[in-house]
Amino acid sequence: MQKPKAKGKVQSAKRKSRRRASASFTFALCLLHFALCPAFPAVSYLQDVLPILRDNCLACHSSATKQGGLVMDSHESLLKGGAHGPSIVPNKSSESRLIQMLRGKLQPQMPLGGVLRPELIDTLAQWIDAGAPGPTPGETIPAAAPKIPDIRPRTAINPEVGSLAFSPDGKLLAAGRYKEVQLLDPSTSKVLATLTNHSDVVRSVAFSPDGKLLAAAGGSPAQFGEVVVWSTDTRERRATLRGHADAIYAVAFSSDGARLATASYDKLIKLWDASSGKELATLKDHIDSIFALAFSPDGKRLASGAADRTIKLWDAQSGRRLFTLSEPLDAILTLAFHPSGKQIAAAGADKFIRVWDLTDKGGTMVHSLAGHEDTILKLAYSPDGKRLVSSSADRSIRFWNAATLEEIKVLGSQSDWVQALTFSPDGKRLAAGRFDGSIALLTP
Amino acid sequence: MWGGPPGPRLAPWPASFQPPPSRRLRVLSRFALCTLPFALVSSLPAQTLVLLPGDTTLQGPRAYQKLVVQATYPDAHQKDVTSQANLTIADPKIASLDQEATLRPQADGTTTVTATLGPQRASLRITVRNAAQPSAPNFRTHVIPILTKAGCNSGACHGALAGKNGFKLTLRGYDPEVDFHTLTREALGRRVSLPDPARSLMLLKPTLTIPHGGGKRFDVSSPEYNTLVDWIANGAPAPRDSDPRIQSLDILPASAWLEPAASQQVLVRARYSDGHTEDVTRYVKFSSTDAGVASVDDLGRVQMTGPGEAAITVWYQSQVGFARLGVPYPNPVATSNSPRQNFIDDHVLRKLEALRIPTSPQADDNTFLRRVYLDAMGILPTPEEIERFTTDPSPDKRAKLIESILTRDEFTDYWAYKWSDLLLVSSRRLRTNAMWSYYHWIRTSVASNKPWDRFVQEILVSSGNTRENGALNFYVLHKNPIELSESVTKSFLGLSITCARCHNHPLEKWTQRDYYQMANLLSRIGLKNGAEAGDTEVYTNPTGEVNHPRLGKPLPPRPLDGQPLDLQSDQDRRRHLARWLTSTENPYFARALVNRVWQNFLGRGLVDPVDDVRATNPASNEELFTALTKDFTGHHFDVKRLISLILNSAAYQRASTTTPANEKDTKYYSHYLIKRLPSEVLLDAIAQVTRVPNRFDGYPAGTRALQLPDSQVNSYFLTAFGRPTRTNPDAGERQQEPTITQALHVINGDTLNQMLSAKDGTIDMFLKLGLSDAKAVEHLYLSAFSRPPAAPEKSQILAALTEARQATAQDPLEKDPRRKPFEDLMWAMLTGKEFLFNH
Repeated sequence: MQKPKAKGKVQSAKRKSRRRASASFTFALCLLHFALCPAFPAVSYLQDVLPILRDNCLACHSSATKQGGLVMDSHESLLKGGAHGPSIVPNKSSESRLIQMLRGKLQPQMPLGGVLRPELIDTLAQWIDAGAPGPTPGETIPAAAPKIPDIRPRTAINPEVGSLAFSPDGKLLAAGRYKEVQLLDPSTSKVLATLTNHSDVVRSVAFSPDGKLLAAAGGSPAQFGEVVVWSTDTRERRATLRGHADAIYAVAFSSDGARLATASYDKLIKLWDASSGKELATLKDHIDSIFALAFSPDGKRLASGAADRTIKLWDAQSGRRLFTLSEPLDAILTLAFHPSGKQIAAAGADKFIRVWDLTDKGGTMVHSLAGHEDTILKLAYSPDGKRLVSSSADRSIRFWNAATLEEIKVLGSQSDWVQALTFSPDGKRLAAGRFDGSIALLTP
Repeated sequence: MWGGPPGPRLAPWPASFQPPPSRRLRVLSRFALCTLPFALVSSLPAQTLVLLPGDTTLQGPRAYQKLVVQATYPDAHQKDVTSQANLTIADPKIASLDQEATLRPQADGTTTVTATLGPQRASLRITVRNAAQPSAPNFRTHVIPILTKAGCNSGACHGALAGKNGFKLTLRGYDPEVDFHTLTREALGRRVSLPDPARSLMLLKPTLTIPHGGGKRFDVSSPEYNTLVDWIANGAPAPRDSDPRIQSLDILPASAWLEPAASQQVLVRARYSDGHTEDVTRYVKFSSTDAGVASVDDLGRVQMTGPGEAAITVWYQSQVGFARLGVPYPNPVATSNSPRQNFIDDHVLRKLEALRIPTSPQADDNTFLRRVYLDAMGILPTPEEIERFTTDPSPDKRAKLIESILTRDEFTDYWAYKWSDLLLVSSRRLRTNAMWSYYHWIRTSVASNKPWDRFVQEILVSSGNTRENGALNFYVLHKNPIELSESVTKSFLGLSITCARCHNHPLEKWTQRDYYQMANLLSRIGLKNGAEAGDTEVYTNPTGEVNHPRLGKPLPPRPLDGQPLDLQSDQDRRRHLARWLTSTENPYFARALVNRVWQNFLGRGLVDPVDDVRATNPASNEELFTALTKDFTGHHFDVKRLISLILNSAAYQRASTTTPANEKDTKYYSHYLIKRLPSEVLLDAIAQVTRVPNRFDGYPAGTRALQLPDSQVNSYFLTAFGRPTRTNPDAGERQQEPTITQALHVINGDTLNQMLSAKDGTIDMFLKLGLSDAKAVEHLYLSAFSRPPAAPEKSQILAALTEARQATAQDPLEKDPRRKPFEDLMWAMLTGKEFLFNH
């Protein structure tokens, strides 16, 4: 053991070395800091990376479109990658598939709509080299804030009627219009109430079986789909359902009123809990936009008609696809179950009205009639099941014997396309809503 | 020396390109310009200024017109001086001018715009009408062109068969009515929002306000956006039958010689059926026929990139046209010594002078003799013929030679073969006897120099038995109106209209309607089996129509842009077609034939490819083409006369050797273009030189390849060297490109080697006659190359022969040591370029 020398000297020596040590430690810290944090500002996922991807990639790589199995709308999905594996390798931009495709080192060079400016590719590469950090907790997505000019129409406009529905007691007629739903008294045609603040044209309206709720569906095309569920009595908003990536064209209540089904341009059907608004399931099988949707009268099945020229039948409870009817030659725009549930009619751009007999296992086409001179827009069965009515772009409404499809009556020279067609529950009136904004209550 | 002042302003190529009046001035200025650099020339005061597009009317508040100030210099070259000129408006209350020299209306009235540059001035009158009358953009004339220019309805995007993402437009807007419904009504009108125009999907997407697979097509601040949003804000009015329709385009400047690396703005103005005009430059599809000479951007700004001449072609709503812009080569010009034999040379030399490309000297007699024999008859001259021609002292011996060639059997064989290529004579789809009757009809027509219009008429309007009238086999080959009409247009008009079968032609003015109206002319041809196999009866059916596929009904039969027939008319539809087709007024018929014949001799058609004579593929010398065609139609479509004119021209008789100044020219005939001999000619030539006739299965011995009526005759050589299969009338079927297969076959293959070792050929003749080496070499040179060997060649070859003979003498297997060296010599000659090519 060393004999302690003059205390001060040893202490000062220790102090000096301690000071030296702390100085070099600080220095080392600084070095580490500079190594870890480069001189230029960090690239943020939410602020810098997502806007680039959103503007240039999401058209084809969103969760709805998923080209190549790759979704690029979230940090996790980027790391996960697609059919060819992960699209980014953190810290190694040159090995990342994303950068290789952007730079053209892998073909085809992306994006397909026009290559990115080099600065943008560099930003992405920088972000990857910094470890591809995701959003920090609590960070919010910057608003897309598209700069849309405010342009007013210069002529008088009568916005179209997108949809019509009678309440189950026949006392109300709901008309889906531009950004609003009108509740009309069918006997006087007076507007009783206007339900506002929808995002765009209300393309489908449906009352719940007990008449207490009204679902009004629509959404901004190519942006999102939405359903606003209203209380029929209080005319208050009960819920707003969002989840579709594109506008909804058809909405329907299940026969017990507990669930809602929606069909959208994004090729998906979704099932929702009608009271909580929670999304329950997504039914994915159609390969093109879905325009028509209906529950079977017994509530057990769901039928959908789409631009991919097919009608699909689904199990309403499980969401399992049962079978597909593929006789149509062009897009399906409308379908209707016969009130007995034993048949289904569908029509669309190929101008034919087709009727199938339905069983548990499948459908057999029993009628195929060249019914109109132009695209057929809407079909409806009378509540007694004896007649089928169709409206078309040829500006006519035609009435058919439901069993034989013989033509009974023609109402020609409609003032415009009849896009909405529905019988009153007692079958005594037929409401027709047109592209020129007019609504007619016809005697069927 | 520039080509002279520009012609009238309307496309296509101006009718005349006059040199300045005074010849002395021409000579002096030519001399002066040889030494002046370009910069110096254009720093001289401009001779004249022109303000393009000339007097203008602006109709409505939305109208505008871009201006170009064009200067012409003493040597007739032009320059776009818009940025240097000073532009003023006399009355700025009527119209305004912006920084881009664009006129915009302010108030109704008339005023003058003046441009000044140095001492020169130019002006135009501008009339403004309805400046205060609000007007909505027209869907047909404004919206569709924007969608087309922005690429929305292109084949790669929404114009594709299935569209994109459920949105389908007609390709390049060929059906505005359908597009209108798709945009405003389909899918419950999701694409257009009348209450909130700027939120229309059709605007959010192309401005990339929301994600768009097609990227950003235009900006929110662009004229495209403003027009589209205006249209929507005005209620998105529908296209109407009463809409004005485009009738023609003014493309300015129509033609100009420019300085090297010059920039030039091209203006395009559309004229409509109601008399109004609009500046459509921004929405036109521009392209250049030669990127090495000129490049053009989306807005019609041309950049000259190299010497030569290019056409800037313009496509707008199925109207087409072009502007011709050129820059001369940086050479001093010296064509005044080039000989001129006929009007062909006047036109060829004028173009070469304007481009400053010097000519090569004329070919010598040996070269000329071999060349003309091969090009016109497909045979080589014999040593006797060579001797006679080269020793003939008469000054017009070439003209006399040409005259005698036109009467020879071999001439008839060659041209019968050529038209058999065009008319697809083969046993592939015809029975043998039918094929022979087809071939004989063609050969007889050539032998009698049947006028080309009658030749085609006989094919089109005859009825009867295919054995008696071989021409009728044309209908046996093409059995339905669609195939027939495409074949007729390709073979006789040099037009390819196939694209228009499904949509409007993307490069031409032909619409789908035109296509089906044309096909309906050929819908009443009936075929019945005749008495024997291979016999067919061709007759005219009293009924029969071709339906337009989308309209589902027949359209009045109408030959392309000719007069239609009533659907109910009982006039013979084939006659109507034939009359239009072979009329002297038909702009395509004579040109197609003249171009084919020209290409046969000069190596490159005036229009290239030879059967692509479309409006957007202009000739390399339009004046020459017009003059030749006029002469052809003016002399009853006389093919022999045409051939004679071409062969007698100095242009045809030039040597193929080049100088550094003209070696890059492949279009303007400053020298003869070397070409590989066609397969049949080559095979025959080898047979001729080796004196071993070809053998073809099923044909008598001694039949030359050019005498075969059938492209199906078995011959590896012919196939390898590009013989056409005669499946369709595409000139590209005959392959003139050299390939490895050819080289290997000629070097190692059977054909040549067997001919060399065969009995009783040239070599046996040498041996039997005991010819000396020197005589043999001379004979071979005359036979294969049509010239005597030069002294160094001769001595080298003789030495080689001696050496080879000594080596062969050592070989006990060789019977005659002289044979193999001769075989080797002939092999070397016949596989060399001097033999295989026409030069």
